[in-house]
Amino acid sequence: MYSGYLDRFTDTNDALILVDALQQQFHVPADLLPTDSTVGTWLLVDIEEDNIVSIQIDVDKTQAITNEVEERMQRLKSRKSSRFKRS
Amino acid sequence: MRKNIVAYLTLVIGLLIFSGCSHDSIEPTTKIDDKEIDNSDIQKVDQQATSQSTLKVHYIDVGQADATLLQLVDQNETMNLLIDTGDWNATDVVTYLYSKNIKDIDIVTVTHPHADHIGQLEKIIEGFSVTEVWMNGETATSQVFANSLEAIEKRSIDYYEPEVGDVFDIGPLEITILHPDSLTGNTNNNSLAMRLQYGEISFLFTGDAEQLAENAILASGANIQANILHLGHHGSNTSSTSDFLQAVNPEIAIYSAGVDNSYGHPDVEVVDRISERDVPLYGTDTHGTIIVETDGKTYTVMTQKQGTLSQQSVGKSCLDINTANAEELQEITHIGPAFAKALIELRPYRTVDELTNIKGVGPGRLHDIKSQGLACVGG
Repeated sequence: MYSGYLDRFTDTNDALILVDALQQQFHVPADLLPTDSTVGTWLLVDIEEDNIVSIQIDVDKTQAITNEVEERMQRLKSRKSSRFKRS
Repeated sequence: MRKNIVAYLTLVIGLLIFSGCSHDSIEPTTKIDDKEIDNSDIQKVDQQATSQSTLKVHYIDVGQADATLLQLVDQNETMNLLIDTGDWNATDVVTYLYSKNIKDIDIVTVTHPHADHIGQLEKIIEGFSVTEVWMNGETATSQVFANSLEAIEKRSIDYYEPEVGDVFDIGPLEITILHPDSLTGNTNNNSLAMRLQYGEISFLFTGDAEQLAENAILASGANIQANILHLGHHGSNTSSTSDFLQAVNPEIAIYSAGVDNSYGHPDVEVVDRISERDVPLYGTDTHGTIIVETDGKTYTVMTQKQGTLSQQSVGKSCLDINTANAEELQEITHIGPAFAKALIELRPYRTVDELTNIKGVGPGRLHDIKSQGLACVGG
């Protein structure tokens, strides 16, 4: 079982799932996703012969990374600056 | 009028885009105004350019992803900007930057946080001295996004979220932000869009902005005219509406897409819309890396792969005397049916000057032909 990330939906409404451990991305028909999946959801996926065959939501990882990103983003936003901006 | 196209070069680049390859692996065969230029000449041209102001915009071939490098040379100082950073599971952008001997990058802009745009930001921050990173303010929870933020913070890199109407000055290069006015639930339509003005030449970048964003940009009333348009969303039919193209009124359109990509990019409808406007279309899938070089008055288009550019693709700015048919050749001054027939029989030509091999074409007629500027070798 691998950790996967739902990065986006394509023009053809496929879900694009990134699997960091394999450095591969997989297209999956959107209707095969767990009901509560949204872009940004972390998943646990089984892969057979280069195809994702089962998907479940990884609630804990989704929450953990969401918290990490939001905290870090807040810190960055608090010190926004550009030396190139015309004043 | 395509007066800005003074010539175009076809580069055969032996560029290998994988790590571990030579950093200076471009092996161009270049023809400018009928003169072949070898690699040493290219280097001389580059050195001469450092005493003037020039801008090179590299639409890097990064497969089904986006990355554009802008190299501004002004008063012997080189500034580097990057718009998008390629795909997440590749290193081609990093390798390309190394191949250009780049060490410092002044601004890295990520138009939106999808993995095919923010993909190599962390690697770029780790591998180069980056001064400033721009994002649209939208967060993602991908590992690549989280790692990128961590790298920005760890290295204390300036972070900025440009807003509509913001203007930035990078030497003589002016960047105006066109979009987004506010973030929505659609990441593509949240893409940063910007117009770059360099002298009389302008460029437009819209990331993966789709029709909704294009309409918002149109409704804003901002100046979006651009000589060179980077087509939104890899040439997808979700973008590049007729109204948007009408307003931009580009002389050249460029898209970034992977060979035989599964999305069907560029969409045939978009290609048709561009074609209907008689605008030359370049794509990284067919042309490889595309470089537009400008002095602020005119520009030159160079592509990685030879043979994919026809004279039609640059607005008939020149006619290849080695491939044009008899009828086309008669567009060249002094060339009638008899000369066209003789010209074809004496092929191939290494230079336009060799047209004097045709009986009846002397220095005077050659001068007229070259003055017309239509005949060329290579195309």
